Amino acid sequence: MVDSNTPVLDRSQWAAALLKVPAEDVVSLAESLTKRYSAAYQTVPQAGLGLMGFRDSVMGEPFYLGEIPLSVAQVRLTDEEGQAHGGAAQVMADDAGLASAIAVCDAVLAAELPGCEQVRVLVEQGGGQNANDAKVRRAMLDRTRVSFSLMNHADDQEQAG
Amino acid sequence: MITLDTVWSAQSQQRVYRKLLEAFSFPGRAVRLTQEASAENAALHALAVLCDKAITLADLSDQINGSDWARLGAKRAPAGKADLVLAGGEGLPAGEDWSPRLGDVYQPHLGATVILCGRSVTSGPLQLALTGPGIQDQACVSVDGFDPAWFEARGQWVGQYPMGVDCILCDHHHAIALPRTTTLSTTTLNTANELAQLPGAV
Repeated sequence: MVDSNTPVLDRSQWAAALLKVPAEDVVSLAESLTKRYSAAYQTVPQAGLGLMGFRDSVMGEPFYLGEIPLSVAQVRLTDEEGQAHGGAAQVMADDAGLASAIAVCDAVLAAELPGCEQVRVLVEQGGGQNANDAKVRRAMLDRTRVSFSLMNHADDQEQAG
Repeated sequence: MITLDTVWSAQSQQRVYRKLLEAFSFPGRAVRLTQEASAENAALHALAVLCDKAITLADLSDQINGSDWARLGAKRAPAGKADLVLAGGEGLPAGEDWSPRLGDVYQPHLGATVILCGRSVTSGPLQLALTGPGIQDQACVSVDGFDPAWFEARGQWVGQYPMGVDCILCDHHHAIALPRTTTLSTTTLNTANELAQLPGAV
């Protein structure tokens, strides 16, 4: 549910939010939006694999964690006044069509074109889901923390006894 | 949702890739890269297959427009350093001692691929006699719109094999390949009679 107290997400988080929403909702919204504007691809949309780089936490040495599915799309929408608006998406999914749809939504919302309210609803819906998931992960992480100070206290008590 | 021209589609690029393999396997054999009623030329079809974000490209005759540059994904580079060089066949670039990248004896694969665009690779006043791997005895190709100076320069670039360049000659629809292993000599036909005797001449 869209809450008026829900903070507005930064543009860098829109794609991740839209990825949480059912894909068919995003694609059908994007199709309706492309009918209103003249849409063209800036680059050829691609879906494939990317290597996720990481650094180890001890020496800071770079290494590749593994492969991730990656889809990229960049679009340009031209409105009735001939003004061009760009949108792009780089998502962890093996679906160039979905990346294209998210790129269209990105362009419409960034430029606040007619139709942006429908995009905003989906972004806030997905953003809320992401916030819930982050909360669950934090709770799981908290349960794995060990307080070693209690062990030291137990050793002192044994020596005193 | 958003349509993309055929030249950028995966099916088209797979087809063109196979055609380029055939062209390099049989130097001098003309292969058709475009499909019927295709607006894009053969050179763009070849570039769409060969280019990606890791490739550097030099466009010496400004044939590639801004939109196509973005879609190719290649980075621009000076002609002497680029992986791919696109040029018109009408004449060598101005400037003495111009040479595309030739590679070295340990890294001959760094030699550039030069794509030349002319009027025709199936008929014309300039005859190329080709011999070498992939050619039975000799192959004769007639082309139009290519300055013989290109082929003289090519002779110098491939003279220290395995270093050298590989060439793709294109007209609007077709391409022929000249790998660095192909030996080439040129003859210019000057008279109407000589031109009329060419295969396919009207």
